Amino acid sequence: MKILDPQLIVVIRNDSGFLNLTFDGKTYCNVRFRQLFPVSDPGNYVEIEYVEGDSYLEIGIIRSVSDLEGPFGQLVRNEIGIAYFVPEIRAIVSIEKFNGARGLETWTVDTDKGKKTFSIKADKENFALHDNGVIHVTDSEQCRYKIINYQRFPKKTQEHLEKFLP
Amino acid sequence: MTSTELPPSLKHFISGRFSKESLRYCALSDIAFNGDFGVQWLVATDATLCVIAEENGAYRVVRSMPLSAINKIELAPHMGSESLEIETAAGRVRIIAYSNAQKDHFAALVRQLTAMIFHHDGAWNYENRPAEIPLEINGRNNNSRLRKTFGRYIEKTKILVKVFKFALPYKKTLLALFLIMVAGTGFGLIGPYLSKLFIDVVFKPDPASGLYENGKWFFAVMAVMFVANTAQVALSGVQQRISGAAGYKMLHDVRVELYEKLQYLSLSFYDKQQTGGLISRVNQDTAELQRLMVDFFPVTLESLFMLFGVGVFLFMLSWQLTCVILVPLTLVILLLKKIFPKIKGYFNRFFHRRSLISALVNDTISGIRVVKVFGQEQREIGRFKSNSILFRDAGIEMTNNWSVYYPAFSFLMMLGAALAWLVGGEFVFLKKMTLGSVVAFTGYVTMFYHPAIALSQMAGTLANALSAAERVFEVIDATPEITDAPDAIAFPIMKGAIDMRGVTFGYDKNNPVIRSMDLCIKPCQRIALVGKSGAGKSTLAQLLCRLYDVDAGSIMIDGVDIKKIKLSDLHKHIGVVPQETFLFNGTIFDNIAYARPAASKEEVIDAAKAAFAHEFIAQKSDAYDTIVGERGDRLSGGEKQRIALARALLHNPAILILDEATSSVDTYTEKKIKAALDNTSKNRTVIGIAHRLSTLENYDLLYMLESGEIVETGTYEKLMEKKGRFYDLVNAGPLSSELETGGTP
Repeated sequence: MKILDPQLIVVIRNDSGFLNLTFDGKTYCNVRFRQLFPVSDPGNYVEIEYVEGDSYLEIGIIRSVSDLEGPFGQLVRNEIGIAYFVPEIRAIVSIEKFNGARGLETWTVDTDKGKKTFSIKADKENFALHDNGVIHVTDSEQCRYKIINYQRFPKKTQEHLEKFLP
Repeated sequence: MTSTELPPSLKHFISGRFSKESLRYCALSDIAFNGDFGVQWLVATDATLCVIAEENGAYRVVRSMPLSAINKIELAPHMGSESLEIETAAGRVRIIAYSNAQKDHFAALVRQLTAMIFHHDGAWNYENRPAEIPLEINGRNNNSRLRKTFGRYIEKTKILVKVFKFALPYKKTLLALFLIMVAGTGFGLIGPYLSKLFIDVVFKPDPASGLYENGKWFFAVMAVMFVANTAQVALSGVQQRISGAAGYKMLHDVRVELYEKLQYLSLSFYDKQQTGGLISRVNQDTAELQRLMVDFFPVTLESLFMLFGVGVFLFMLSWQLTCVILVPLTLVILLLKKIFPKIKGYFNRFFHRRSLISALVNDTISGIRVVKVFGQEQREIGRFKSNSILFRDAGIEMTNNWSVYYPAFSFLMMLGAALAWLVGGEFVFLKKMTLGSVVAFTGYVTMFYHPAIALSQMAGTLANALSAAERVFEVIDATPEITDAPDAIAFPIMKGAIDMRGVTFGYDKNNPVIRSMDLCIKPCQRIALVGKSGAGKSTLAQLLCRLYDVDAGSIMIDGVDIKKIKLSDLHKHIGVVPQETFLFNGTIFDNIAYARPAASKEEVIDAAKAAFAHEFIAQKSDAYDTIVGERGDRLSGGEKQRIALARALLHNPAILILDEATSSVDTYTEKKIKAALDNTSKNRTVIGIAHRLSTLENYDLLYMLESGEIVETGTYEKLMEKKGRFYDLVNAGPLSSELETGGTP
């Protein structure tokens, strides 16, 4: 495994909206960042890839985004946030039964990326519980949300969620 | 007489006939020369092999042949029988036939004979032979295996003793339970006696004044009644809690022990079992057992107390009346005794059919793709329906019978109460008993019959739970065939030198799949096993992992017999990539780290890179956290295989066994897998079970297997030059790039 020294990494946003990365004197354009453990260890073990032809090739892996110099880290975090867009639900404002369709619910939630209302089929398959307690919720438009530590939600919300968990 | 012991008259006959030779071995056949049941002996002296028939008490030599004429001895298995055949210069001769019951004796005889004739190893002769021909070869014996696993009948009482063993850790709780029950029963007994007090004392007017002189006791008696009833209700609540909790705890112990056993039982056990049936043992049968522990013991105990306590009161009130009401009770007990075995039969059938259904569902759902591809949904529905009908009918039959027995009991019980009034009323008229005593007595009679009915209901529960317990303990009591030897040694470092000598093995011991095979692999050598399916390639790999024990011969790793190596160490040093990759439902990370859960993220990534799996994993949006689905269904065949390879590589095994997948892997994936193999086979011994021509060049040496024997050895080029069996195999199929598409046995 090729681990990159975070001290030698420079990241800038280029004019096309992508990121350029300079490592050890060499610059790669339009690089891509992929978390290898987005659920169990987000922000750590991020693989950096560059484009060649129509495939992505690996430059190396950084152990943690937080090891990068301040502004670089923020750029990478943003970039990851776009490519791995899974807002964290911080609070469920309301859950309403959808009129007319059975099992459909309308959720209004507060996430780390803002307020959102979505409809979801209230079905076990749209909820996944991971070993570390993270719940993934997939709405009817295939957008994914995550809930970290649902135990901090009000009792009634917890009970509603538990209906869908294994 | 065992089949290896000659009757004296026959011994005499032999010594007369072959006077200059000494008797070595013998075996008894149960089939006569004409094919009927009968008696024939196969006798070997140090110079002659002969068959002697016994007819009307006289002996006759049917066939005899000098040992020197024997080129080869073979056993030819048939259906239900087997024959011993001998290759001579003049051709093949059938010497003797016998039923399968005698197979083991003949197999042993042939081994001894072969040793004597071909290896000049006459270790023992008839006179100093072991007490019985050793049927067991390396601990594998068909009969003892059967006995050890299934089909063993366990007596009812023994099962109860076994169940009780699980209760032992909870003896304090059970003692508390017992005391609570005694107290509860005691309080319960007070009620009817109070009604006697009411009628005979409190509400009895003074004959002279007509006044209720004892009326002052009314509230006192009421208070006692209230306290007694409250105490009884409260105690029964406490009792339910305690017994329930104890029952669930015991059940948990049983379930865990059962599951533990299932994990350690050898593969040969699973070969004989249907998966669904085993699943129902863990889930449903233990649940039945729960009823035995949670319902049966407490209710039975309580009922017994009740019977005893009430019995004492009944006797005190009137022993004559007690004798009268015992008549219907005796009838109930007799009836129970008669129907108990019947009910047990119904329950057994009921559960057997339920487990059939669960096995069927498991089978079909696992193979749902096959069902759909061949459009067999209707057939599967039909199959399920007919099984479900059988199950339904067993349930109806059980209920029907129960619906007759139960009212019959109630009727008899009611008869008892009527009898008590009939005779008791007569006693009142005769002034032999007070009215209060008769009222109290009938009250006790109902209390007496209540536990009796409960006990009779328990007959059903018991029957049902016992048959479930039987199935559970069959598994718990089964002994794993493959365990660590007591003198097994730890093996921290393995070089990977493999030496197989005279290895013989068959899933059915008398029908070997591997025949006295010798194979020597040097450390870091890369060898491939090639051959048609059924040649024994995968079996050989399983033997090396010690999933089965060899029947004869030995497998040594670094000069140590694998039976002497700790199983956990052996498996630590051997990595296997099976032909059909099995992934557990979890993340990719979990599946790669399966062999070593403590592995760090970086180690897992390294293993994945070595197996050329990392690049496709990194392209998935959840990367290593991607959930693979049941059996890994969400991944492609090639992806699954590379994950399996990463899993095998994670603990850096000294020996890597690759059972190449034959399924249609595209050329790109094939290239990747090939690269992965190149990448990973450095510094370790690699045994490839090769199915594809294109991968053969990765190996230093090829072994061509045919019916469990090595027929050709050499490098790919040499074998092709030789134009022998390997050459034929390569050129045989229409697709010469694929050797075969066989499955694992």
